[in-house]
Amino acid sequence: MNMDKSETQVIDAAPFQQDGELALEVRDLSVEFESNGEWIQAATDLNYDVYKGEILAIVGESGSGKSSSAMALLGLLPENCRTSGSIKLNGEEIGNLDAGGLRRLRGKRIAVVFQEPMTALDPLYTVGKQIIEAITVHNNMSKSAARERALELLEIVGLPNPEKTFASYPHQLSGGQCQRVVIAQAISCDPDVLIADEATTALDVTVQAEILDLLRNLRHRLHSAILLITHDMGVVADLADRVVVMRSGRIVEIGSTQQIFANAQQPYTQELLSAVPRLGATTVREHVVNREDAPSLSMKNVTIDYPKQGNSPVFRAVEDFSLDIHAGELVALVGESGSGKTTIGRAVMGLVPIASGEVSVLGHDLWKLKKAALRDVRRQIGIVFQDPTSSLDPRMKIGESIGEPLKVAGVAKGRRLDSMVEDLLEQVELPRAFFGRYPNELSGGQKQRVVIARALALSPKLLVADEPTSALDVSVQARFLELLLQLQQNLQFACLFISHDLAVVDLLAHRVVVLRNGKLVEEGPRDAVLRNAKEPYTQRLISAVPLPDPEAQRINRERRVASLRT
Amino acid sequence: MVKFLARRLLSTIPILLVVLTVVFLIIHLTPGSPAAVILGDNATDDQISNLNHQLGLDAPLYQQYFLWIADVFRGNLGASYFLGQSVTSAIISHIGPTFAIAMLAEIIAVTIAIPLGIYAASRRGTVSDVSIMGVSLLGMSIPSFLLGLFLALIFGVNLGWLPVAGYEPLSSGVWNWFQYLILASVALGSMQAALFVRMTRSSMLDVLRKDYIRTVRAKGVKERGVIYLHALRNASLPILTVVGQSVGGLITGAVVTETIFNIPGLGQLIVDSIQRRDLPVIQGTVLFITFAFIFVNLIVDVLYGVLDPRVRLK
Amino acid sequence: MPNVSSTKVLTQRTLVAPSKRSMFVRKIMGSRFTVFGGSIVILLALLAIVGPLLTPYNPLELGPDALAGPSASHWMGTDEFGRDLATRILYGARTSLGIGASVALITAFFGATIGLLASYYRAADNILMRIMDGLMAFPSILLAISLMAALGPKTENVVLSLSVVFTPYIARVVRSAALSIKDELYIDAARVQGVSDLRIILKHVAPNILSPLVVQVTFIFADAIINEASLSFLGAGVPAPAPSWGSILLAGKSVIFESSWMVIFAGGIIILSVLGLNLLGDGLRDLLDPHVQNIRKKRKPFLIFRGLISSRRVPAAFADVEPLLEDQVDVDENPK
Repeated sequence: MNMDKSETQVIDAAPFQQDGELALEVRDLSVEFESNGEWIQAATDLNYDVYKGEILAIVGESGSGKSSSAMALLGLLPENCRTSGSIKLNGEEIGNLDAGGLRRLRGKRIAVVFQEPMTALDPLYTVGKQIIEAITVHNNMSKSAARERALELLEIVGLPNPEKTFASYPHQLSGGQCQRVVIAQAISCDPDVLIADEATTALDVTVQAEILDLLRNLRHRLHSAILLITHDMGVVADLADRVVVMRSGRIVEIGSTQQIFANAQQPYTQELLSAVPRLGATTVREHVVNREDAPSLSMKNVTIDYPKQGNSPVFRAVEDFSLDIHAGELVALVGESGSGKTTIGRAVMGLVPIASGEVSVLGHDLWKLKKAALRDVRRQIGIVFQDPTSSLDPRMKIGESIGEPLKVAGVAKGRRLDSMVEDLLEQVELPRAFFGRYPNELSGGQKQRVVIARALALSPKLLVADEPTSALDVSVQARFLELLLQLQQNLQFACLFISHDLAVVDLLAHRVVVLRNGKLVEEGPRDAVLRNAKEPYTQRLISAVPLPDPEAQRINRERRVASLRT
Repeated sequence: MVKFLARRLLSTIPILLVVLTVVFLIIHLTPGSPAAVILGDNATDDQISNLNHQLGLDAPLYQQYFLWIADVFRGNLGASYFLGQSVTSAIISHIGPTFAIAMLAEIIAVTIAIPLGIYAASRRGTVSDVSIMGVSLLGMSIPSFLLGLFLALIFGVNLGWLPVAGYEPLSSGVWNWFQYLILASVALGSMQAALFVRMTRSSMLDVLRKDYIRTVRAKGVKERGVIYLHALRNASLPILTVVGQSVGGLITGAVVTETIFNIPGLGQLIVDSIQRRDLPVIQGTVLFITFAFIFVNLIVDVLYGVLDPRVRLK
Repeated sequence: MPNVSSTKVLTQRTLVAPSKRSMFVRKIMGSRFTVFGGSIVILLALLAIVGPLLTPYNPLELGPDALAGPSASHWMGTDEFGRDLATRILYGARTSLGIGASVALITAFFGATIGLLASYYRAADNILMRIMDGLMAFPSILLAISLMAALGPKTENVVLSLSVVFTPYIARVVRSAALSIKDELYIDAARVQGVSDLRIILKHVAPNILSPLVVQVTFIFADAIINEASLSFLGAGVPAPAPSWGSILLAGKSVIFESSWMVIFAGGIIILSVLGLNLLGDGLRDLLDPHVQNIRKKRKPFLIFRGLISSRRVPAAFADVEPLLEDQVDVDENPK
């Protein structure tokens, strides 16, 4: 979509604390980066304000320029970037500061929390030392006073044992704990503006909910303005007062959260919102599965260990897990990181050995088959992985990649093979011209369609999809899920759909299996598990998912907080 | 930490075995009998087979192998055919100069190269960075024995500032000792220095790209702190590895460089022994140097544990 | 809040931008040095092939005036037996570059085979790579010298010894590159869809390790030239009277007081060829190696005895890569 500045309609209604003081005033901010001698626009003429005590969300899909424009506020862009425009912090121009001026600003007046908590802390220093560094860089403070302050900060961010955390190294903490430490660091100097750049994206939903609660509490406590950079509409609905919607480096729409969600003016915003899957929103779907026939996939009492590696002992990834999937059925396997869901997927494909139990695909026990027979059974399985880039050989043309299973199985070659590949491309709604392209010429969503085409090449009876959409933008995800549903209805394969995203699962699954620490927690038809969960863990998981609707999310949140108290 | 050390030690065992076997095989598969070499051209067949028997060389190969390994672990590397002394004492009498050259070269390389590498990394893409990288590439392309020859030509022959060849022990005065070693050490250190510069620079750049460096910058830490407290400390791990490995390169260079400057070190001992086909000395010296090299790298691994909490606290 | 869309441009200045000059310098460094290095290598190769046909002298025929300086008839002077030095260096180029190239090719073949096998079969990894570790534990020239002492000074033996010395380095690089590719999901996908191991190695793994292999082989080529020269210089390499750069140096060393020409010319050409190969290898690494970062990320840092496993050269894993734009800046994923 080509959008001129004149077309950009800026709606400014009912901002948070209309009479409040301005914390940040951004005018005509542009960011460009150099690539092969050309200057490419990452963000163009951005104008927005943030008030003290306000949470402003900047949302957009990848390539929208939301991150680069936020980093530009701090001068934290890579070397090959340049910015122009005006940035005022508390009425004072900071856009023209030199390196030293920017440095004094960073951490003291504008602080940032980044996406990947596990890599955001220096592995060689204790957590305490790193927080003290953040304090003493900007304040003339004695060592013991800084230590006191650091401990206090650790307490504020809700770390249960501040003394112990203080002396820990980052690798000894979990992702959620690391993120709390990073937040403690960020608020150590009471900044005027706190930027949270996808700060909860890498976390599990339950941890995400806790961090979002923390940010909400901090906002009351600090009176800082919070700039929330995110792609997740649920997070926006949960936390933000106002929303800036960005696309391709430009601001599409600005408005209060209520207004954006209830009454978006711009078609792009409407599209974006409608593409977001919403837990509990889907209507009941009629679905009949013939359970008379033998299941396409049957797992009985499967236990999977990861062997001893170096210092780490044997790790039991999955314990006593059983599951049947019949033809035409889509079963979702959900759980947080470390729940063993991916391991189960890999075991079904025969990529991970099982310690005990039985995995049969179409009636064949995978671990009792001879090599050649195993190969034949495997051809009945299609797979789609999370990372579309890694799923395709960068040196093979798209056509070759899709055609490889056909060729190897001896189904077709030459012209016939080519025409079959073209049919497959058509089936996943990609142009035939993609045949001769290389993966790096395709976008993430397109690559994932190619992967699906390859998975379907041999008309498999079972499709294993491991987080197939988590690397995709919501709008791309929506189209991809639609395609997957349609293919499954037409071809009637059994599908094991592995996901951490309950909203996506709600959209697709006939049955849902909830995993935790390698053990099955709850299993049943979609509505039974997602609407009327019996297990407390499932209930907690569901209530932690932020709903992309401010009002519904407020209710959901209050209910969750209340249930946690009891 | 103890476990970590134990594992490191265990992992050297197969390496030691391969080293021992290779050295043994090289020497024992050499055509021509050692006895014939010792006795010279005029020896009779009887004399040769007698001596072979005396040296235990007529026993089956595997028997010789196990006997030899047992000897090695008792510290007995055998006796030289020609020097009239044990291999161990031959090594001890030649180790001084080699150790001195290697240490000097290492000191020269580390003190020059690491600061230059840090500087180049922090001024990435500037003229000084490119110049440093250019010079280091040139440095990597001049083998140490060639640089030794050129240095000897310039400072010894043309300028006459330093002696071209020879060696005096430390007991004859520090300067006397030093002036014989300095050219060899510079020649030897330059290639290592070039390698260290490149390694330091690329490790620094690698670390500077990490997320935690961005966090440190976002805290408002001064660039000096970013470079020295965080980047350098993290980059020191791979740099340390390369410094440890450089010991191998230094010995490699020393063998040849010593012959240029006629310094009576281990290099010269090996070269002379090869010409005399003094097998026990070749075998013993190669083994000794290789073990020393393995030992140095073991120390590097231990230092890793000291420097990196992820290793220490696992 | 003021109406944002009507706000005028307040300031329009460049806030943060790298100097044009630094980018310019970086670019030159990237490409032109590579071309320069490549040209040197090609030129020397041509000289080695064609040169001997052009010179009027015989490299072995003794001449009347020994140790003459450069002149119109002897461009680089003569050696201690009155032989034309330029001719000997040209013939020496055949020997030295020939040995370097042979070693490079042989190690490439065996190193790649061993590395691929080790990356794919656990047993091969345990046996072959332990042997490689052991061989790499030797300082390289010591192993080469010992082998030469055992085999005797012959040109073929130089090739053989140096190939034994350098194969482990290639095997290491190939193995780690192959392992990182094995982690890629497309390998899993191929396996699940019934593609055989052999086809996976040949069609998916091998093409993707080609770049690190080519780069490492270029460096081995340079190393082999240095080591051949060292061996011959020690009298344990190419036997006299055959000309090689190392043996010319050896002769030059003994007459360094009378005539420094031999050392300077022979040394100069060695430096030139090694420099050319190093430049080429460096440039190729930057050009060909999109996986450098992957290898670095996926390498287990404390796997086994680090000191011995990575290459003596700057390991490919630590190679300096331009920061990827996509990592730091949002790039439009779906260009329409």
